[in-house]
Amino acid sequence: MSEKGQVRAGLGIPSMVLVLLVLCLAMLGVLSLISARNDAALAERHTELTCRYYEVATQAQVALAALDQQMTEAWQASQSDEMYEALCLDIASAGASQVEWQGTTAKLSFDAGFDRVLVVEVEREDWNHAAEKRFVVTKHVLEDVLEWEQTDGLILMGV
Amino acid sequence: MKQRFSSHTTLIELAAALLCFLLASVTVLGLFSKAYTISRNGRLLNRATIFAQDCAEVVAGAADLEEALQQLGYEPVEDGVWRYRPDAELMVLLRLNTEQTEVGSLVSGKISVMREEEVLLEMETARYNNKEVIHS
Amino acid sequence: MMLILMFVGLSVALIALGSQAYRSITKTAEENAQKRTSVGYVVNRVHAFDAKGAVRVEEVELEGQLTDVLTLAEWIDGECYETRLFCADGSLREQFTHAQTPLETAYDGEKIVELAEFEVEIAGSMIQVTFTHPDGATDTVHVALRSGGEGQK
Repeated sequence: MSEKGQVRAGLGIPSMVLVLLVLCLAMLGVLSLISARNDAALAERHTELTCRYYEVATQAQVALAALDQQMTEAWQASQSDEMYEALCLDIASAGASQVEWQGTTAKLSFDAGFDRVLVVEVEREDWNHAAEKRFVVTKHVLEDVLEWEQTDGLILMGV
Repeated sequence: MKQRFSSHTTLIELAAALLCFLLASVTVLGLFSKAYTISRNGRLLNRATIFAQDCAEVVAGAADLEEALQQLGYEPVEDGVWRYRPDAELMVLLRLNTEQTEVGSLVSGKISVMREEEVLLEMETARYNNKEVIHS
Repeated sequence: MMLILMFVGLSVALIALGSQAYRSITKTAEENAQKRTSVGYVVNRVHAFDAKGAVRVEEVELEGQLTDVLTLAEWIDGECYETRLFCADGSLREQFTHAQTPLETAYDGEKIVELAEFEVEIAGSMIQVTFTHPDGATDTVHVALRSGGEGQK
């Protein structure tokens, strides 16, 4: 009987050690997996954001090509700077983008996703210089759409 | 009888414990292996994004595109197709297309970063250059 | 007794192996995050300030060393403000201040991410940035200024 007792005691301690060992290793394994998955998720999101930016930047270049075509036609149809300006102000869209004119500046906006917008501004050259180039890009900026809004904070310890 | 029953019980317990331990070990090894693979894929995706982004910026802004691509290590493969191998694992493929109009040229590029046959990411880029025109 | 000790010893070795694997995986994740943040942050900052004359590169003496500073300018309420990116004290740092305020010490900027070296060159409408990460690896990236060329102070 005591022999039987000794065998049970011999099995007991190593079993406990084994269980603890497996538990520790399993915990390390799970932590590693969580850490790796978090990093992979961030990498994927970064890639998505980056690809989306270049997609809209490409759209912007296509729109600028369309705008240049229209402005060239306006220039070729005009005899003076005033006439050229009037014809340019009639250009309301280029490619898939709307064109907003403010004086000699045209603004095009492109939705870059994730609450961002790509804003492209071009400065129109005057009629005498339009042969060389119709406009110069003065701004090509990725802006955030959301603005920071103050929320009511918690008052802690009267501070 | 009681003794025989007891020794059988001990053996069964031992066998069950060993089986559990084996299952647990396999699970733990699987966890580590999966974590390692995911971590490695994340690292590759990071590097792929950096290479693709660099290529896109060069296409968008280089004064002499061909010279800039060659300086980066790209080699022409076919007409309008460039290839770059930053290391043994990754390959960057750039397909350029130039559309000439009366007033300018639109150079558009499609960038693919691949590992063996798998496409890790694809990116677009473009640049518009205007031309001198004549008043009609 | 010997067997028990051997068993315990091997168990400890197994735990050490497992923790080594965990450390290796988390170290890779940290390095990925550091590289992604440093490169992505600088490139995105330039994309956010790409306007005519807004971007320039300067060399400033900080802590007795000549340091490349990528300066991004913007106008707010008629005043010119600058966002300056530079590397000092083992980190990529950013300072946002009035254009008239000089950059004097490394600690004038907020720490963004760990970085060993940060070299910037600008030629016309192309910026070349070289990052040297804490592990010694380098990444060179280009950023095109689609609004034209570099600005003048």
